[in-house]
Amino acid sequence: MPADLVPLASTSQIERTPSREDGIPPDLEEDLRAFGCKLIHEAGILLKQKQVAVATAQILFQRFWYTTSMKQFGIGVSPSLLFFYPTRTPQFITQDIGMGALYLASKLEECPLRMRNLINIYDLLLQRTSHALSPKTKDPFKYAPMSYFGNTFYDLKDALVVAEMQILKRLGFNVHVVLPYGTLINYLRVLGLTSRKDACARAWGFLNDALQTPVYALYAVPTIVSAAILLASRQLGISLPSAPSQCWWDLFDAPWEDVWSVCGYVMRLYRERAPEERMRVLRLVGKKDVRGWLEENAVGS
Amino acid sequence: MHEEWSHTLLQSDPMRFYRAKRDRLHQAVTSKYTILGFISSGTYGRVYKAQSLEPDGQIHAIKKFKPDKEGDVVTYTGISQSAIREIALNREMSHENVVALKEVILEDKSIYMVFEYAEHDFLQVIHHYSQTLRIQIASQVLKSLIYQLLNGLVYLHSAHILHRDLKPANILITASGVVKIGDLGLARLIYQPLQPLFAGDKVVVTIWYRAPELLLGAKHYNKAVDCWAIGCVFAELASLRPIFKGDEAKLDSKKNVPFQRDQLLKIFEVLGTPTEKDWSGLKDMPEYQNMKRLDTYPNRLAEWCQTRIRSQQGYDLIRQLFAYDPDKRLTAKEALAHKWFQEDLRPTRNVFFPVSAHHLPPQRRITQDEAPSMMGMPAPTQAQTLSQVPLGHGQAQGQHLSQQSQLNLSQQSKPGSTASFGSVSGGAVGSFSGGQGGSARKKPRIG
Repeated sequence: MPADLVPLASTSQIERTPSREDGIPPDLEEDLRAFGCKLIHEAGILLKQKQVAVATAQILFQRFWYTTSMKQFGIGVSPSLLFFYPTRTPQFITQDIGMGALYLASKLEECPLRMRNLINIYDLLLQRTSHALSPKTKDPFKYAPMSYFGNTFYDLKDALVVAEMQILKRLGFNVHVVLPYGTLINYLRVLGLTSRKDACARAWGFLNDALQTPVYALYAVPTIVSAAILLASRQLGISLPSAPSQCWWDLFDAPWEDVWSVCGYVMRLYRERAPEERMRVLRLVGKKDVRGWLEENAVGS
Repeated sequence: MHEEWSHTLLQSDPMRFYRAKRDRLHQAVTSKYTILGFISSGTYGRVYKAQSLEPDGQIHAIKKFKPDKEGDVVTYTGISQSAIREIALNREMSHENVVALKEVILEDKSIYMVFEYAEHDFLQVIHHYSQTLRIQIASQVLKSLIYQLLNGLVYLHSAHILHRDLKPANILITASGVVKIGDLGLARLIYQPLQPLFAGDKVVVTIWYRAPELLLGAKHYNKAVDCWAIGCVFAELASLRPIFKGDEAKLDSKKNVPFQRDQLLKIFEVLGTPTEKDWSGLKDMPEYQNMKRLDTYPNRLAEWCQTRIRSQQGYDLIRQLFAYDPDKRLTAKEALAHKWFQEDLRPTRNVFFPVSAHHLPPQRRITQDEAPSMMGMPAPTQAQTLSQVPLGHGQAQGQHLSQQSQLNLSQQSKPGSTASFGSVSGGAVGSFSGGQGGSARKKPRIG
């Protein structure tokens, strides 16, 4: 599929994301997006869902935040939710969107999930997150399942269908996603790298890790695939033609600046973080902390 | 409580307050269209004939999806898989021989797809000729019908879309005699590997039009399944009855996919039992062993065509559409270039051109809806209304410009253009599952 058929965020959407407009700092937005994608990934594994559906969900999730603010959506979307969860916070709803994206992507890829399974898995993942933050974090984690006919289940179920429809509405039903895997294999063949198992595996891994960044909403697939190959080949010390006029990425119509930028997005995922910084995003899943954070933020804006 | 909430909201988030208000003013389906009557229903939901309240008063077909069920208890499980797939594909397409989607309206947990209206369909035409007129379809009309059908299919296939459910009831004809391929609920983009048709979805594909590779359990299939279906439709138009009218073997209690013995026999009776000479991959088909146990038949297609198609070239076309080996089967493009279409009498733009007025098929019958709760009721209260997602096609777009200036239409994606997200990013956001708070929340409780 030609690159220009893939929907990408517009320059204005990138420069000023709705969340940033609402005063959410860019690095916090980035962390929350990455955390949401990680949860989608973990849920996908626990549900034994196909990777195509998981990757599609992560890309839809990233696209969504170019149309919607985490703050505005949290308190702006469904009044019914607010009535039932007066304490429900934007980050909780971020999780709803993640859950909704996975639910929707599974339908798009013709491997639908049962709502109950999906909800239970997300409940488990969020309980595990709160456990990691609780003072008793040294104790072994024990999952407390929700009641089968309890309110929690029905509330989450409502939130799930709302989230799904919100994604469709805000993306204008434009839910076509092009996954990079086929292109990677193609490029590795062209570059004669298929015999290097380590290079293949590493590039494949970078593509998957890139799903936690916004790059699939920003750049065409050939650029992202070239970036994954660049990272893999540099880390393994494999030399590829890189002298001007015969750079290998030119072959794939991938502009160097864009390839380099994608590499930056991916490598930022692995940067050293202070433990406190690392916990910040987890802590924002908790209700009280986010409310506090929002209030502080509201004063600022 | 609600009042208090909206007051604090006005201060804390005026944008949201504005949106909530705007959503209350949003128009319901019944405020944009007059429902003229009920056309048909299926597993997906119901179809209505409706007239736009715009000055042009255009006629549309509105397809209302019924909520999906999960398990034994009826619960709302979000948009149905076929609805989302149909919408996602349809919004990208524009071709004279493919039915056009004008807009999608989301309202009170229902999804309405507004299509251009087509007065007739192939099934109705077949019925008209076999029951009322009791004559064969004139060969020029037959040729025009198949030509336009193939023309639409070439478009779909060139856009890498498989229809997967071509049958007379899904192929429409407008009052001006233009063929429109409809119902893309099972259609999908061609990625490899394709999911087996029977996996994952509850939708039933009519077995009479199913290609032999699917009947023999192929895990992979391609565009050739649509070309087989066109051969079946062609034969049905010529003889006014389904050519391979087999009985479908149902899934057993363990959801094992059964061997479709009867359908295969119906095919073999006409086309003969396939051999490895016809189809080199035959012995690798999962159901090959089952197939070998069936009686063998000679090929009698030429004989079958003699009285029904009455043209050597017509016979040649159908023979090639019925090639057992999917790789040898004619593609839609090849079929469109077939000599039969260049022979006199040539296909016409209006398929009914040679048909005298009193032989034209009747207008589509519409009835009063026996399930009045679905539509045609007094307009739903404004607060139930959600939002409208306009599609970036000509006229519908124009209508929306005047109605919803806040919609960011400059970002509407057109086929082939760089699209950014959120073609409705400026659009409705607010009262999703009921603007009036909890009262719109309907959920069946058990226990």
